[in-house]
Amino acid sequence: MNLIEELRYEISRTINTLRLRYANSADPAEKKTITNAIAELNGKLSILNQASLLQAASVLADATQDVTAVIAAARMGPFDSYLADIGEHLNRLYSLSGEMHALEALPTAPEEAPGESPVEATPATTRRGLTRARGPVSNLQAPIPSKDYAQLKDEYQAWFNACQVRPGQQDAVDYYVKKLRQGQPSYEQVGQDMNGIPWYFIGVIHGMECGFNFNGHLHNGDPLTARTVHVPAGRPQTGTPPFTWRQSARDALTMKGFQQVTDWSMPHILFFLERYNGMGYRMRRTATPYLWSFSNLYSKGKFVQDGHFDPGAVSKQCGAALMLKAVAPPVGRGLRRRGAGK
Amino acid sequence: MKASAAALLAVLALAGCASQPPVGEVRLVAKAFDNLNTASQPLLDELALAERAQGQSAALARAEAHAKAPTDAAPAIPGSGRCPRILVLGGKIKDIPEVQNGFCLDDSYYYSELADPPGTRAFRQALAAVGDYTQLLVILAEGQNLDEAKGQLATLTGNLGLALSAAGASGAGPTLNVLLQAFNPVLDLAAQGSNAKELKRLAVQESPKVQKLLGALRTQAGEFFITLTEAPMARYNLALDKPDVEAAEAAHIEAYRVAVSNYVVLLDQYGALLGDLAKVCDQPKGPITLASLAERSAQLSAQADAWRRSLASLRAGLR
Repeated sequence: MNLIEELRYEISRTINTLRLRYANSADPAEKKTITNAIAELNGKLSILNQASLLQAASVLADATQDVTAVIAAARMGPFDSYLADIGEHLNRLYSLSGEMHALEALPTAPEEAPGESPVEATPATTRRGLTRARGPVSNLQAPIPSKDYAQLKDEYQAWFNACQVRPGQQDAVDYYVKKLRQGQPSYEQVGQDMNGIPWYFIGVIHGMECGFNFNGHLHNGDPLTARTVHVPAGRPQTGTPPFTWRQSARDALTMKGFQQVTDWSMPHILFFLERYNGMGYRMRRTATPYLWSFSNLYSKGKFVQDGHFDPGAVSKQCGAALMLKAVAPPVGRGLRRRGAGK
Repeated sequence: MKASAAALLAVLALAGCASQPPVGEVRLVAKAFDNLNTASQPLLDELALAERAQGQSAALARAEAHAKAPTDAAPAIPGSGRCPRILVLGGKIKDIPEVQNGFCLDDSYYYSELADPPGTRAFRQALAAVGDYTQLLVILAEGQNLDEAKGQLATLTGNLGLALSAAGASGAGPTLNVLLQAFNPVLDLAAQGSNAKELKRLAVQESPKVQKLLGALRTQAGEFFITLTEAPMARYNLALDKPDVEAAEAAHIEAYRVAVSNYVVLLDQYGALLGDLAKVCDQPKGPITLASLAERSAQLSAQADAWRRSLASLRAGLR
């Protein structure tokens, strides 16, 4: 019996004694005194009862907490363990998927292919400065064989305006756009660090060069666990592997000097992207799949791995322009201000 | 690639071998709890009223004691030290009612009607925790948690499908598509197996904690009773020249004794039912059958219902 119980017991016995005395007393004054005493003892019992109930509540609260912890720890996700197992497989599959896409990445388009002569760099022009050669759609001129942005700016804008998804390719384009959007936060982070390079420019390069695989270097898709092996080899030159994707991306973009660019208008973006892959298509007056694949502006012709141009080969990679059309800001389709367009 | 596919299929196949949850048995136990809970709530409402009265009575008794004794003196009895500067004024002079001269924050839940006072809250929360545990078993047994989980998987596989269709030209697509198609038929089985495993763990390994809580509810039933009967007992003590009042209050006290005793018995029966469920989960081929569980559950439900009705009569008589 604890202290409270003992006290309650004794108080109850006292009340009982007082009640008996009350019954046997004929003195009104004594009866009044007894009544007051019992009322006071009732009050004491209330205090003791309250204290005892709170002790009981404390015992209950402890036991309740144990059960609540059990409920909170219950594994309600029936696939939790499977998700972990499957997640491992999916990671590998995604990685493989990235590698598959990377396999389809367009090789560099050399301006002068082995054993071939490039088209005359200075084309025949009209008095407006455009060639008479026809492009893939009736109102477009064929690509101008020039590397001078000033000469190409209008062409890029005109081609971009005319660019549409080729029938049957919409699902594939949607996939590329979805992947681009999934990586947007990472691209934005890097872009912000580098004087406001638009996220979609970084994302498009990532898609074109690495199949959106964040386990590979932005340079060329080589694993981040070591410096790059393929061209450009030995990147990043500083730091210790493994590298984060962000570190590698900064290195790749810095190497190309993109952090110094201030004009991120769409024609300029298209120019940078074409130059990133190589101006070889342009020198052949052929639409580059790097920009226009899966669109109405490209049907076939690509440089293959050995640096030769195969006029019958078809790119299996979505071109940059369709991705940009889907995600770039609609007004002006590009930026001139640093850090904007997020 | 093929190795990955085989490994994943093996994982799913293993999941499909897991046993099915004892849905019927769990539902019976849950039904019994619902009846126990429904029947207990009016008694807990009574407890709340009684505990409020107890708290207010104790506050007054403390304030009266503080008015008589120096406030910095050691508390004469446990629990009397609360709010030592609050005194009772008046009351000893004819026609001047008693009033406390301050506000004791700790007593707020005894004066407010917005929430349960602390003791009642603990009893109600304890019973609710038992209910939550039971409901958890139902969710797992019935697979109520599967839709969301399947949605997660669908998203994962959907994304993979998109990735594969876009990379289909590489030749790996068909193999992986077979893998994806293999997901769907075993998904439900895998989930049920996982749920059954977790249900068994909760019902077998974790049930001692729930039994301990039921035991605590049972053990503290004495305090439950004392609080419920405090006011009638006080009236009984003071009905010195009023045998009819004594008899009425004694009847109330005895009615509460029956009510709390029923509560204890039903708690015991529910504990036994949970014990049976644990045995079913642990040994599906054991002596406890769905029929025997159903019988005990129905018995508990009927008794709880009868108790609820008798309690309603008691409450009507008290008003």
